[in-house]
Amino acid sequence: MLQFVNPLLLMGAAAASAPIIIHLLNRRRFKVVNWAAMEFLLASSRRNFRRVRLQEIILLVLRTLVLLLVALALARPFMSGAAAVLGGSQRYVVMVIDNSFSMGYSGGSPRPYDEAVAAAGRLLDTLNEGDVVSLVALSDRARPLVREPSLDIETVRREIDQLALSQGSTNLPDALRLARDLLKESKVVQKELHLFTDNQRTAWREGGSGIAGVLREISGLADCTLVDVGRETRENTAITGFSHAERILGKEKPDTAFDVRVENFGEIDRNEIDVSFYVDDFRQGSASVRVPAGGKVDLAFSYTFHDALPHSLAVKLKHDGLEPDDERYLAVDVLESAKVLLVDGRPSADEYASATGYLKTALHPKSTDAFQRSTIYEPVIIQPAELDRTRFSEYEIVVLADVPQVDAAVATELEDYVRSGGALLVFLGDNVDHDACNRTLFQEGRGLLPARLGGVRGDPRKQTFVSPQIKPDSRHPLLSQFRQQRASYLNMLQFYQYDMLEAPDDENVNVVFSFDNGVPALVEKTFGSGTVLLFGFTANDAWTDFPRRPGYLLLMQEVASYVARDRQKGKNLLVGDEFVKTAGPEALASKVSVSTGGREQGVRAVPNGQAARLTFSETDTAGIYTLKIERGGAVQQDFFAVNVDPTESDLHRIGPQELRRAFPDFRFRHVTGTSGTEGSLVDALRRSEMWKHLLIAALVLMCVESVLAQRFGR
Amino acid sequence: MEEDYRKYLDPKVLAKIGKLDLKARLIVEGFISGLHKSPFHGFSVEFAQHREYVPGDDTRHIDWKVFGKSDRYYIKQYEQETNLKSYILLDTSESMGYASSGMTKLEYGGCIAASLSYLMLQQQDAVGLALFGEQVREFIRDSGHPSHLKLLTHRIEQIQPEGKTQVRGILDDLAERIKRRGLIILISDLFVNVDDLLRALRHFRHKRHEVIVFHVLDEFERTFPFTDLTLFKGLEQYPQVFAEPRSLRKDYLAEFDNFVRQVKQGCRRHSIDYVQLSTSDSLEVALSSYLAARMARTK
Repeated sequence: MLQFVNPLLLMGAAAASAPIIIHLLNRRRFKVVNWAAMEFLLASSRRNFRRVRLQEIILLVLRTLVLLLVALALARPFMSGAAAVLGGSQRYVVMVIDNSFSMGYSGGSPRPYDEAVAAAGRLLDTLNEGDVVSLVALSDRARPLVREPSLDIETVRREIDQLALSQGSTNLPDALRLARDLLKESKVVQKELHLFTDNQRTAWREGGSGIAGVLREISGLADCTLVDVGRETRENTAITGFSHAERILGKEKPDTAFDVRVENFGEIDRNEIDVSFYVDDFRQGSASVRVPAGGKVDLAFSYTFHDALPHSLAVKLKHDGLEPDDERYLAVDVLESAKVLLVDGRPSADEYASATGYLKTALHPKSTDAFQRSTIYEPVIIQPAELDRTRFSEYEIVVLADVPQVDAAVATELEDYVRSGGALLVFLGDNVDHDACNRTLFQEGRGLLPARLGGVRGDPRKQTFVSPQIKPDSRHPLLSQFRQQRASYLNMLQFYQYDMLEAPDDENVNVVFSFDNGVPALVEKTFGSGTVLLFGFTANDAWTDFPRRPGYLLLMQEVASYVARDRQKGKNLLVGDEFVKTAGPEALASKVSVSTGGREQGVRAVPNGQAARLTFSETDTAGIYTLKIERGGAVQQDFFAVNVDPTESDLHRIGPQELRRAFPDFRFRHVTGTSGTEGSLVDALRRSEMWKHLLIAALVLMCVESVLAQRFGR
Repeated sequence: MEEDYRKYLDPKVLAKIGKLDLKARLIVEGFISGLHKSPFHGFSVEFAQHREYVPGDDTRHIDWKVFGKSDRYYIKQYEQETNLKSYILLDTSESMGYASSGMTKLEYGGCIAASLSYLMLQQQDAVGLALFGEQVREFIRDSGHPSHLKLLTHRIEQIQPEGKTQVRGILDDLAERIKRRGLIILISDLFVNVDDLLRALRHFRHKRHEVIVFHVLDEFERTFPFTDLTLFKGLEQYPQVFAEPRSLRKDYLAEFDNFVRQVKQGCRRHSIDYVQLSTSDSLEVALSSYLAARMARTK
């Protein structure tokens, strides 16, 4: 597309009409001669008429061209992009504007986002009537703001003005795919992609090889310009993690720990970063940490909940250049108790002779008050015969201990239960019917059991034993309490008998630890959303002394909190995620609303089977969202938390060279749009300018004109 | 006081003089006064009559006997001096009216005609005049009487350029009308078809006339010195041409030279004297050309 730096000077092109006017004036100012020797004049005129006319036209055209070229040169035309080759045809411009929250970095004003908007405005200024534009916002959800190629540039300009900085992260692959589709659909010959971004390294890395192909396609479709509005400084501290270790938070459980991670992405060490911890908007703790440049520090806050209600938590830093990542939120459900179903295959009057006695004690210690408070598990013991009358979904965990076998119907119900997020623990024993269990529960790897039961091994007379072997490099979360000196809690155990478990080679199956003879002792399987743990030994002391050792209690508590249904899942989202909650059918007839930061919005409940399904997708800002279900006078309140994507906090940029190395097929022009380097836009422009060529052409034409005029006039 | 008559040979000077007969006299006086030797030789011995002496007559021819008797100078006239009959054919077509500056070609040609007439009448030769354009506009029979000059110059003065030059019929017609052989003097710019012209001239030659062609041209016609854009309005019903003269000059001159060459060659082939004159040239050329021819004729 031919554009002009000084379009006003184009009016000078009117000067090109001067030779024509002079010519016409000359035509009007001639001498009249009465001529006698007409015959000769006529003859020569007849013979020369065409030649003379041609010469006149040639000279006229040359003179006009000279002036036209000079006028053009003064207007300083420049070609933009592929237009230089294709000539000034209609342009289709896809503008991708990064409005992720890192664009709002205010360390060194103005914000990159304002720069990007200004640069986009300048780009719009270069468009002509008939050019079409699409606008894509580049944040977590790549949104086509103006999807249908718009002819109305003012509309696009308004859209850009209305486009606000979001708290989303940079979802480059989605935006690029969207841009590619838009470019593909357009029939316009001359297509351009302008990407206005702060060019975060993480944004390009995340897409990985996936976007390399998209970039290659785009390079083939359009002329790409990367308008880099990023800042050189990248000082930023952020809270990048806020979570709790346990899956189930219990009322009155002392000192529930919350892990907080503070990262310093900058190049300067940060001393005394004040971190505050809030529960239900009340400050419950604070800490001051020192985070080295490029480093991260984990710290923990603890809190004891005194009521079984949903709670909202927050951690906050003092605000720095980039604010959204200085706060992080967490929504939790605190439970009164968590019911655990213990299916005892060896019921006995003597509690500790039964299969589940030790387990029940481990999950719900009753010896001291302190211990009792520390657990929320509420064991319910049944016999195998009652299995088919049991609704598993009421329980957080289902334990089969020395159960001879389960029939197919129960196995299917168990499968449904686990698949939907439940947890199943299987302990073995002398009663277990290996063949039946393998058939209904293992199903050659398709069933619930993580491993085939190979048969009981060992010494029933308890003369010899095997011990668990905990590998020092094992990172399994279940073993987190058994590292270093506490490894002896497991290593010193004696297992007289064990089952010869055969774990299949399956990505969902994981051996947590084995005996020192290599036989798997504890095997884990992820089944749907739930987890199954198969212990190669008994839950009581029939095969091992483990239940009588302190490690037993520790491991079982760990196991319980590890496998229990994740109550907090779905309550902690990233910006842009959809909140989905399944509520009781009464929600259908209730007033349901979500409020955050003073804004309240109604939510529609949609029937979903027996229950009601609530969805809310306006999670544009980080914070605690309060969900209220009101019916009559009763208000049921719940929280969910929305956080920003921590990868966006890393302001490291990727340079154009590095980008070219990473994506060799991506051909783009790199332009910086920050106010300090405004010149580079002008430079890019100057490169495509052609006033020099025009002036040279004008000079050449002038020489040709005088030579020709001499010749013709002779 | 002796007047320098030679200046009257210059057309620029002549242009200031009004009356043609006066012009003619001045021209001839100027011409003759410059000659070292009298041109009037070869008067016949066969006496015809006496005539009163006028200044310029050769004193040798004064009849001293008559002077003795009458105390007046008489010149003896002889039969032969009226032997030469001359006809001056003056082109009066529109094209002859062209003048880049000073005299038109017709005025110049008129001067020549008048001067020659005067000269001839002085020599007792008979002079006739034909003025022609599209047709013969005036035909004055030859006469040797000195008063004839008045008539001739008057007619020449009166005539205005008009009409096309028509050579073919007219010259043939004239050739037929002029019965006695003599000297035919054609004064024209010759802007006619060359073949027609030569055929007509040949006709005169065929009738055993001596022919002199005075080709009167304007200086501009010979050099075409125009530079500015010009609208050339054609005389003699030619269309007009709007032209950039510089671009045409080369071709025009080539065309013109070619025409002159053709005329010259044709004249030479038919033993016709061809004299090209420019209206800025001295009239001396015209007169001496005539005399040379006259000599040749009387030898």
